[in-house]
Amino acid sequence: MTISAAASPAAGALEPRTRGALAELLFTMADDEFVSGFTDSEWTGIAPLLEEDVAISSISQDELGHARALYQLLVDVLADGRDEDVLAYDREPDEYRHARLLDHPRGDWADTIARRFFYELADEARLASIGAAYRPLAELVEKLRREERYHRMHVLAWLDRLANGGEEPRRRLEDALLAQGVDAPTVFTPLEGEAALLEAGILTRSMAAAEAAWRADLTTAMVPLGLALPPSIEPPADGRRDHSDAFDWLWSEFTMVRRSEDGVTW
Amino acid sequence: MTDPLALDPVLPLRQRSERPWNEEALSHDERFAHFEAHVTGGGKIEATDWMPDEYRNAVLRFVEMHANSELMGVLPEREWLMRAPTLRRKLALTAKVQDEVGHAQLLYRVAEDLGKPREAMLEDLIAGKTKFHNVFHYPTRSWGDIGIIAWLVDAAAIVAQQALRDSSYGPYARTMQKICWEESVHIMHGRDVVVTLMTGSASQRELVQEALNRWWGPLMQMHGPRGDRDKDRDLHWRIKAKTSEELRQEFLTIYVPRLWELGLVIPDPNLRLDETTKVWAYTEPSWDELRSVVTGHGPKSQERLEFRRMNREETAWVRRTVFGLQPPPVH
Amino acid sequence: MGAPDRVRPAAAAGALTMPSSKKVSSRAALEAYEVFQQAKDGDPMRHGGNVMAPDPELAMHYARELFGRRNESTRLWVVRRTDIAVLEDPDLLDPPLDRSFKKPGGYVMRDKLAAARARAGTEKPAARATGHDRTGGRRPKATS
Repeated sequence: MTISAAASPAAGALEPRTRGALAELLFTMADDEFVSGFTDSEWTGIAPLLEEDVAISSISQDELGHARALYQLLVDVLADGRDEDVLAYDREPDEYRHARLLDHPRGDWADTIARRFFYELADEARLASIGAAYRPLAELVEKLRREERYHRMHVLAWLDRLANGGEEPRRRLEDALLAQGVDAPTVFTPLEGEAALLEAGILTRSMAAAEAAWRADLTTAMVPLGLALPPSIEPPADGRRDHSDAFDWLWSEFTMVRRSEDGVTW
Repeated sequence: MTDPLALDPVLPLRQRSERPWNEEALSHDERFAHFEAHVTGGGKIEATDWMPDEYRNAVLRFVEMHANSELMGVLPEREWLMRAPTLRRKLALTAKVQDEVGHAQLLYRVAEDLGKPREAMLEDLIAGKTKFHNVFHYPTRSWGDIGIIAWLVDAAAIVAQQALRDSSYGPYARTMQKICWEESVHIMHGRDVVVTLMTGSASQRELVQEALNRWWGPLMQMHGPRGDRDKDRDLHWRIKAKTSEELRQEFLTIYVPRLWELGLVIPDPNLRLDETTKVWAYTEPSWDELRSVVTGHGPKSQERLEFRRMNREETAWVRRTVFGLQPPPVH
Repeated sequence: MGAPDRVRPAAAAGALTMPSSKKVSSRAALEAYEVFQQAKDGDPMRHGGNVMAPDPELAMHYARELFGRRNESTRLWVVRRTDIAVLEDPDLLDPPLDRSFKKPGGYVMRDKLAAARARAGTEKPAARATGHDRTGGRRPKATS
């Protein structure tokens, strides 16, 4: 990707190598929230209970709001004239950098809870790895962490209720955790330019270290419920590429109206 | 020792109680008369009051249809949630649909407290035994529809809902106050979408006009056929306060000028305001179409009910286990 | 005394009466929770509505959705409906004997004040401060 010279003061102060790495980090974070929010928003109107419908919808809106804020940071870092909608919408499917975990479709309620559980705790570990060096991101992360508390509370409440809700909920949960557990580590796929970010203090620890923290967190949540931890595998190098058919379908949906006409305002 | 309450029958009941219809010592007819006087005089009824069956059933039917409409109203817009063309529009539309689910929750709660369990209401809806508003039986074909629906369908609904804020049934009246506040944001969102399109390209403007052409008929039918004020039992019990025609006229008065000012053509050559009477004349809506649609023969009625039924089946395990809900027995 | 009969749980009275012959056996883990909301700091708690939930924790989540998703509250109270005791007994809340000595309306002094001024030969003071009995205070002046 080309980085132009004209950018905000904060972004302009960065070395080109660092700026490139930061853009890559922001794409991974924004795309994760964007895809996760989209998939969760599918539950709007059809969740198991009306009260729960409103709750999951709020969570999906939070995620989309986080994605929007992250894309807005990217606008400054890239400074190539693309606004947040162009960044969010106007890329080909294989240009998206979200983790393969989030390629899993909505599935049933247990699938969603399993995916959200893995992702929420991973996102928390990632957010805890962001340092103070790039102020706009550090400030945003502080706000994101406050909003994410509610998501964590919600998903843990549901993990508990499914695990302890009887034979059927438990079985469905275990199946879902198994199916998604294989891809869960992809949130920690090694970042291009991670070394530069660590040097600059934009990251305080590597994705590998964040993953270790995540596993400890998973253990605390899953062991008391008697749930099996996902296999301890290295995230594949292409964990954020090569997206699935499910994502291709999602992409064709969310770009449908935009692609119908170029250069107009919606 | 004499029971002090044994003295009560000596006192005139009216003097002793502000809610005499709740007095079990009275006959049904006496309680009915007190109740009717209270309600027709503008008094409020709460969930814990005694109610004549006619009133309870009338409120329940009214609220249930309203709840059903909010729930089914989610589906036409939900299809386009995935397709919203900007982040802001996606957020706004998700929030709007969420509000509608929230309204369904509020209204089903009011109906539940009147005695009908939620599961029974959802089963009846899917089985086609209860109804929902005509507008939610039609397809959405483009982003233009999304603007038109969010603006005009919600506007037509709010006209009706504002008149319900003073309903005799307290829990419903209070719910209406909350709902009206939330709906006002939806109307602004809808209007914003439409105005943005109308200041855009020729094909964007065409999207809106085409959508309006299709939605005008159902909108005109939405408030229902003209009725006899004196024969309307819902008006008598002050469950609602305005007639269908009053609501329709109110809708036209506010929104026709706002459509015309955008350069949109309303597909009714007979639509005209009489300057002296301030009454709108219009082509008589098709009441046959309305009747057919609300009894489940609309273009999307069966598909959407089937969607709901399938979705309920898929999520039934959660309700059965975590929420401990038993499905109602099949009749 | 019969008073305890009139203080009853909100859930028992009227909330679950069946209007028709259709008996539905939803022996729910779901219960109603009432939600009270304080809009901004210092405001009174106001009843806003209720949610169905299987336990207090999820009830709190749902209450937050009902009254907190738009940043419209600083505090919520979420109470299981069956924990609320309701008092509606008119004998307790609106007893029939005179109690006007407990309210401002029970102290009408206009005629007595007029008589006292007449005896003292005084006029009503022109500008009056509002007294702690909430009488007095400025009247809108006629245009001079």
